[in-house]
Amino acid sequence: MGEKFFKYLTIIFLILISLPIILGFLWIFISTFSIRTFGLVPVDSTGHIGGLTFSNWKFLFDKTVWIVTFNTLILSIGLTAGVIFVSALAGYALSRMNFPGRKSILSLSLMLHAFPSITLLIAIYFVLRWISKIPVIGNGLPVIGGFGYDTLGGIILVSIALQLPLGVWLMKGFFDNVSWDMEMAALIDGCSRFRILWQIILPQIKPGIAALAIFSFIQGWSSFLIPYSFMTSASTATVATFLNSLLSESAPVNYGTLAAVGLFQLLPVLIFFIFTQKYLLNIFSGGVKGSS
Amino acid sequence: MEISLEHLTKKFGNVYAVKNLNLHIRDGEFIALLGPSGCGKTTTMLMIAGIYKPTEGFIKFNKKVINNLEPRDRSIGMVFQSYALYPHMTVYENITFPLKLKKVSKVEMEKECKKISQLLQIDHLLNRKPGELSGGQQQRVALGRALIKKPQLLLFDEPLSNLDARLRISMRRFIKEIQKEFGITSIYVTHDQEEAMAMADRIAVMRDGVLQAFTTADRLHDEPENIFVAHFIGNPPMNLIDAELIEENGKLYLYISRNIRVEVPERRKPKVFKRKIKFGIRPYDVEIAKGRGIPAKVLFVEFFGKELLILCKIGDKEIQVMAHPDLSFREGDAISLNFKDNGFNFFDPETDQSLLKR
Repeated sequence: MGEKFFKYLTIIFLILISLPIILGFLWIFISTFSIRTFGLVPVDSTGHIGGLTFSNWKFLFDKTVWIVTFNTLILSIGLTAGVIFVSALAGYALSRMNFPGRKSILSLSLMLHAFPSITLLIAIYFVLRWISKIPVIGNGLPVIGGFGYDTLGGIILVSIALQLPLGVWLMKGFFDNVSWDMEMAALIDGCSRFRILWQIILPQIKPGIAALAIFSFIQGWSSFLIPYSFMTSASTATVATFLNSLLSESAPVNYGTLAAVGLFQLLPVLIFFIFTQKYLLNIFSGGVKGSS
Repeated sequence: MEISLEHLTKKFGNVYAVKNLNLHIRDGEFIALLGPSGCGKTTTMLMIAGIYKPTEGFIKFNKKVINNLEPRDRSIGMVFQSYALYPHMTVYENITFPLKLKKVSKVEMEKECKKISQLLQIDHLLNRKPGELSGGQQQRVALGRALIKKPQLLLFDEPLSNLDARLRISMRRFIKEIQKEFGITSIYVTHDQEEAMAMADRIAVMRDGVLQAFTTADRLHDEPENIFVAHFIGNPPMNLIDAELIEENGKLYLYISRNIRVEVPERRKPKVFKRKIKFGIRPYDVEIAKGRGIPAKVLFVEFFGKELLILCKIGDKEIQVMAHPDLSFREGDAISLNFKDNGFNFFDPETDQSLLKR
């Protein structure tokens, strides 16, 4: 009986502490379909229960929201691809090879991770301005605009850099878990170093790559500070900055629309999470250990 | 394939992992590298495999120096302690992986795999993943992967250490049979002397990166090269007793204790005469004498396998003796002992080397 009691107690406790979050999401969901809300209850302009409406979703017919969504998608995908690519190669090198400066790279990158990115804003600004001066790469590329100041590519570049310490460490940890024996066996079987990485080792650390991809994608999708600082037209940069622009207008804030845009931003992450949570859970259940 | 290691040395930083190793392995021979952990046996094997580059010295295959040849060009197969199978591939893909890298045709691959897997009795497992197999089955798959490219040299790195005792013995025989059938030169790294004795034609005993002895199991038993080998090989270990050799009337006597002397048989006389020596004799080379013998006192009796291991005292020296379990002894009993002729071993207490050799 004691065990059962304890189990229920745990469940009640968990419900209690997650209640604020659940209520918050519930409020967002209800608000998006109502003119006003009184607590969690949708009300109309006179204060009676009711007043359900779709008018908050009008922004979907505005071209801006699709531009910012597209931009955010590019940012997220670019960030994810860049982080995975660089982290996997760097993690492999740091895990498997012995070269001068290996230790200092590891400790420095950890220090960088501890840096709040806001302290770097001004320095990054100068770097991006400098990149802008480079022809073509600066700001003459299709889709991402380039890698300089006031381009999507520039933001991707900065975001990747800030995400790398975490990525490199995570990847190094996963590579460390793959046994040397397997690599030696592959060498003797006739693999080249690169083929070993591609065909033998990377398949072992799929869960790690998936986790890093999810983290990076969500990071990119919700990133605010970097696009807000380095895009001159911040209101049309990403969904997060677009959301912010709704708040900061001099007109009274329309919480219904705000909630709708918020939900709109949330949805892709939720869907993405549903499809990838299998991999996320994989990490906690022991990563790679012999079995596939 | 004939293999020669000449002055082979490997340093990690300032530490010698292998020091000036000289070894000649004949074609088709099965040799074991035996030693406690950290003695350099695995390092030696990885140098032969081409994973490590020697710091000094040469590795020769069929009299040709191959120090800088890539592992894949050495025509070797290797079996690891951890099996090192690729967990994301099926057994079939694992076994045929070396052929796939050689760009062998699919038909050929299937034919070879069928042959090997039938031989190893794993042909019913080809569609499974390594994670779904038992340890013994995984090791057979690993062996199949090593054999399929028809290597000229097989390397085993403690392949049976992760298996349970009974399986180990059957796998031991299995590996030996396969090695004989294919006639492949094989090097087997192990820290288990029983395994080495059972399988290898010759055994190389290593310690701290230095080769201690390289000879057959019999010779390691009967005439160990030095005190380390004497103590390391054989279970229970050899008795090592501080004693003196004294020549009287043309005969050589071993004084174990002040008044207790034994005549040294002619063919076990040391090549170099020394007065103070360490006398070595294995517990099973000591007999309980029916009549007259060396007087001893029983200190302690214990069961050792299906025999008795008796700790005795001769004068002021302790000695362990094996006895038949039907004999009954009690602590304090007086018995007499007899040393078998070919059990005598003498070592130089300063250099630890056997005095029978030079």
